[in-house]
Amino acid sequence: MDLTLLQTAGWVFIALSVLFFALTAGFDFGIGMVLPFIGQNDTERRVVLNVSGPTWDGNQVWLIIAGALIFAFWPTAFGTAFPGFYIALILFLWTIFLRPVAFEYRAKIQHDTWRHMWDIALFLGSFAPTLISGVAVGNLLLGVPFSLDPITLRSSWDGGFLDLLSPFGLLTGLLAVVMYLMHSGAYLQLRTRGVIQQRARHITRVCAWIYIILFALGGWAIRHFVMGYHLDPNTGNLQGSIGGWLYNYAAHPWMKIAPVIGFIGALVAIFGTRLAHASLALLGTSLAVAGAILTAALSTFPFILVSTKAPAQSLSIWNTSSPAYPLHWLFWICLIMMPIIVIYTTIIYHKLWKKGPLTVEALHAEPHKFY
Amino acid sequence: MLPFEHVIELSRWQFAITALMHFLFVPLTLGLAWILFGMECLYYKTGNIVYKDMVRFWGKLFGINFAMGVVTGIVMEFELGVNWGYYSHYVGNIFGTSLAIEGTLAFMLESAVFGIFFFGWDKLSKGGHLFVTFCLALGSCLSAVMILVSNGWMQHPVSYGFNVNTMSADMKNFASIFFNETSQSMFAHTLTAGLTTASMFVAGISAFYLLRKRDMAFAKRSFVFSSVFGIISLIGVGFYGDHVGLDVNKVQKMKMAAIEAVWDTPKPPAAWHLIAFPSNTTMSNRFFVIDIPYALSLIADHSLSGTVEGMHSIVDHVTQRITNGRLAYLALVQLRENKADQNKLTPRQYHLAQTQFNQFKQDLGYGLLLKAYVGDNLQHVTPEQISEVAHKAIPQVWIIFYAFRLMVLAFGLMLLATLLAIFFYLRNTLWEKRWLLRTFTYLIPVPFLASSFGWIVAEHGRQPWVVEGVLPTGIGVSSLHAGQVWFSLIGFCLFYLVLFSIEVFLMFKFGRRGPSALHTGRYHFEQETN
Repeated sequence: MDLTLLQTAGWVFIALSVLFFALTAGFDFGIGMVLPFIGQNDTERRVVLNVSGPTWDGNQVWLIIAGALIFAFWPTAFGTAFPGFYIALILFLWTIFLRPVAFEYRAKIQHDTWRHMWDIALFLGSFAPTLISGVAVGNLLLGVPFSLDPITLRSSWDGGFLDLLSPFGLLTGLLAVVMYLMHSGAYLQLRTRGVIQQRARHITRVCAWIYIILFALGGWAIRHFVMGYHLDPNTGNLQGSIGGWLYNYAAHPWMKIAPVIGFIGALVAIFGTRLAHASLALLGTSLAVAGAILTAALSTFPFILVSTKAPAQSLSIWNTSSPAYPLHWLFWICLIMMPIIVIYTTIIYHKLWKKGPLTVEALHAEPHKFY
Repeated sequence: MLPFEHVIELSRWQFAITALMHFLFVPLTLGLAWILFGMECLYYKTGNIVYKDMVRFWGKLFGINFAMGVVTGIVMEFELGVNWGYYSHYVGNIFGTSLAIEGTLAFMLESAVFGIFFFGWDKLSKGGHLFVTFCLALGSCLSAVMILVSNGWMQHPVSYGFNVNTMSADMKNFASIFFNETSQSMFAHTLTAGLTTASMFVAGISAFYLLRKRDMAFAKRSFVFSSVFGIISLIGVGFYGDHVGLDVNKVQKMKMAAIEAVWDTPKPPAAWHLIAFPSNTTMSNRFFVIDIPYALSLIADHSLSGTVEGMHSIVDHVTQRITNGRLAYLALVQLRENKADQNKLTPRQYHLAQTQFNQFKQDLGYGLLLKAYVGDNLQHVTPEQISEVAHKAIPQVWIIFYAFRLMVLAFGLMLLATLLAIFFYLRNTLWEKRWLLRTFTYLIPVPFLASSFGWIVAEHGRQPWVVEGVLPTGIGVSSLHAGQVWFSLIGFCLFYLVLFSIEVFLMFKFGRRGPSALHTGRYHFEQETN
């Protein structure tokens, strides 16, 4: 198979695993964030928690898969970006590992302080990783200050954790938070009834509007303030300019569909919520999530990590991908396994929810069955 | 620029702590999943509700354990990137590929069915749920296969070629990496160790109920089931452990010599040191040794003519390889400089550099080892420096020597207890032997310790390499500041301490409560309140 094709396929598979993560774990993270606020008492909070309960674990594995695929497809980018974002990633890990234990341990003891503690843990474990991953995406767009030793290709970074918190980085961080909140609102609309469903509608509506504003603001910043790059098609040299991330959309107009889907999705979500049509709202938020992620991905294609310190050393899929032989293996593994995962995940969702949404009454009837 | 010594040490400590922590939970997940599947098969076949309660109760403990396994597992993958960035760059196309297979093939399956295992009892048919439990066990098992394929490659790297253009070890043939004998024997040893851990765990807690004379039907069934499971697993773990030993003696001679504290190659039939006081500084065993005659030869290759190469002789080989490796590295630097600036070398110089590199490239790793200790400038290196670095290629012998013996001791204790349990059960006097039941409750932590000791032998025994003979640990580390790693190391210790305490607290709480925790109304504590 052609090397260019394999390298591009790697990019597609990684984008897909990030997308699947955002589409599924996205609402789990949103649910973690709204949990302390949406339920007025323990039973209501348990209903919300158990909407994620049976599936959060599998959803979160998309993160592990995305990480492993980056490791395998782009080893140098993995070994360069991760140490560079050291403190941010450590904080990401420390907070994300509150989630599995919170889900599993919260219901084990019936005590207010115990359960409150895990509610806070779940909030932190959902909010902080979402914010950090959003900030990280912003910084990938801005470029990061690394360079590679020309002999050993060992990477080194200037700048630390606080440099990541630029206004644009915070904007994308906030966008990620709002996006997941909106998505979880729609999912809760589908999976619950009554007062929780009412509150979920409110969350989706408000967050969808904020999402539209922030997404537009991000696009405006990209156009007017952010240095973007592309490879000159004739010479292959790196070209940088303000607004340069819009190059791909000019060269390949079909890509404009990504930001358009983002906006339309949010509007569909608002519309669906108003009609009290939960699946339509969920379709809308899913489109919005997909639109935002694809916009970031397509704008930066083929770059993975742009260096502000030594732009010529920027890592793209052309100079960072693994050699052809392992790429072949990875290509077939992803091509076979990803659809299989999607199929069995769908079956599991179907089996779990075929009896309809989760209600306060159902939880009261069998309190020991749930988280 | 090379990372500071300090960063290397701290990164090693952090990885060791997080990995050992992870492996407190993994073996139980690995083994208990199959025990749950076995119990559920009995439920499926007999329809006896007590088997379902067994699956649900032990499943509850499985869940508490699994959550911590997930938490500590996420850390492992990301840590490879954050702390071992150059390692990731260097071997990512090999190690990353097997991790990617692990994620898509195994870990996703295991995690996706984890929820429906707990919440699907009334949503699936009996057979459907059994299938889910099977997928849970299969997923965790496949996950172990791929992780051990990755780890085995670091112990015994096969089928790779060094690429000058990308400065990386590139995969040549995935099938030979997958069927690497080192990986396969390590996997079998790890899986059986997991089954042993879970058996001892279930047996130990069941023994507690038996001693308290609570929920006898439940506890007896659990105890017998896990003892039978345990004896098979223990035979397996010994058998495959022996295989791992044979393999180590073939492909990791330094580790083998360190495990056995062998400094001078003994003449066969060689004796096995039961107790010794190995010293890295004097390169000998101090004070006295207690030996078991002939045993080392039998361990080393199952014959009286087998032996283990001594560390003195290995260091001589290492010295030679460092000398060659230095030449390979110097040629590599020339080739790399020429890549950055095409006019750096004349065609003749280029040809010479290439010839020199190709001649010595199988020792490049040893050149990097020299670099890890001496620094960037390898132009002027004295033979004394080379000899000094060659001696640093010996890991801390006493740690490995005793970790190995403690692991074997743990194995012996578990085997003895389980054999006695089976013996008394067959004579129908098991339930009167309270001392034996009490022993089982005390044995609960032993398999966990045995796993930790085993990994200390495997990983510390490979030092100073992160990939044996290919990439030294000191080169594999990321370019970080010591302050960053101090921050994360302290944080990890605190976080893990808190989470581990909570986990153990819950395990004790539910372990003590027993099947009454299921709220079925059929068990001890529910009878009292009624």
